[in-house]
Amino acid sequence: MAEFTLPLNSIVRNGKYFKCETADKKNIKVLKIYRYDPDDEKNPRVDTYEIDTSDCGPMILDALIKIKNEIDTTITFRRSCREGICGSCSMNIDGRNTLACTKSIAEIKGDIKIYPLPHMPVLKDLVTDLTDFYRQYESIQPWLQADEPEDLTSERLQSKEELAELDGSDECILCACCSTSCPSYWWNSDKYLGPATLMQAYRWIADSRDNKKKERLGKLEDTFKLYKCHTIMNCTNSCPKGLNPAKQIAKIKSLIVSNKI
Amino acid sequence: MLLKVLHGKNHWLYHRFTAILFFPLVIWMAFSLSLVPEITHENMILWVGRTQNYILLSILIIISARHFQLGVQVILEDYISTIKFRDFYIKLVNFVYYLLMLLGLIAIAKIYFGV
Repeated sequence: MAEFTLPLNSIVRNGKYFKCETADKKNIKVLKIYRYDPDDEKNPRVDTYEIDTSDCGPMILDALIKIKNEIDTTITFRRSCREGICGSCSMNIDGRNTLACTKSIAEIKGDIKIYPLPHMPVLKDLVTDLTDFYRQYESIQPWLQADEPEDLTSERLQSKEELAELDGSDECILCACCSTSCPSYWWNSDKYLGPATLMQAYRWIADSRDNKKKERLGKLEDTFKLYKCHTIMNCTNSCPKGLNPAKQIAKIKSLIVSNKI
Repeated sequence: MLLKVLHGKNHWLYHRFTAILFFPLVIWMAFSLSLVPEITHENMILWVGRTQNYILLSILIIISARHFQLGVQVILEDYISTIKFRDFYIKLVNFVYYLLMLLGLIAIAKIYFGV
C-alpha cells in the first residue's frame, strides 16, 4: 500500500548556521541547503549559509561553488558545463526543479531553499541516484534502428520538414527535472517511464530515418510505462529548457491509436 | 469492452470516449429537468416515463458508471503498489460498477414499464 508518513530517519532537522560577518547587510543573501551524509547515520538537515552577493557570480551555481570554496567544503553537488547544456546541476531551487547554473540569485526574493531532486534516493547532499532514470532511458533503445542501406557510401538524408519533427524533443538534456516533478513518477517510478524518457522515445519514433516506429510504439503500449501520464503538466512547467514533454507524450498516445498498435 | 477491466490503450480510449459522451448527456439532463415545473415524486415518474428521457437516462447510467469505474481504476493503480491488493480492488470496483449500473437500469425500467 501507499506510505503516508515519513520514516523517522528521514525527517529533516535544522542544521548549522554559517554567518557572514564581513559583508554589507544589503548584500547578504541567505541560502538554506539540504544536507545528508549516509556515512554519519544521522537525519538529513538544512544548513543555513549567508553569502556576500557583491563577491559572487549571478547564478545559484556560483553561490554553491562559493560556499564550497570559501565556507563549507563538505557540501556536495554535481556540476559541469555551467551553461545549461549538460544537465548535471539539476536540483530543487525555491520549490521548483531547475538547473542551478541557469537560475539567477536575483530572481528569488527572500531566503533561497535548495533541495535535491524530489522523490529520488539521495546519495549525498544535493546528489541523487539517477541509476533507474538512466536504466529507463536505456530501455527505449535511444539509438537509430534502421535497415542497412543498399549503398553503404550514401548518407541517410532528412528533409527540413522531417528534421522539424524532432524540434521540441531532441533538445532535451536529460537533467531529470521533468520526471522528478511528476507525481505519477513519484508513486510509480519503477514502472512508469516518466516524461524525460517518454520524450526521448518520441524523438526516435518521430525520426524519419528510423525503421522501428511500430515496434517502439508497441513496447510503450502499457498501462504503467506510458498511460500513467495523467497530463498533470508539472513536467512542462519545470523544464529548464522550455520544452513540452506532456505534448510529446500525447503525440505518442495518438500515434498508438492511429497506427492500430 | 463495455464490461471488461481495460488496460493501456483501450482504457485510455474508453475513459475519453465516456467523458465526451457524458458531457452532452449531463447538459441534456440538467436542461430537461429544468423544464419540469416542480420536482415532485409524481412529476419525476412522468418524466422518466417519457420514451426519449428513458432511453437517454439509461445511456447516462451506463456511461457514468463506466466512467466512474475507469477513473477509480486509475487511482487504485496509482496508489496501491502491492499487485495482489491492486488487482483485488480493481475487480471489486468493476463488480460495484456492474451492480450500480444494473440497479439504476432496473429502477428506471420499473418506472417506465410501470412494474
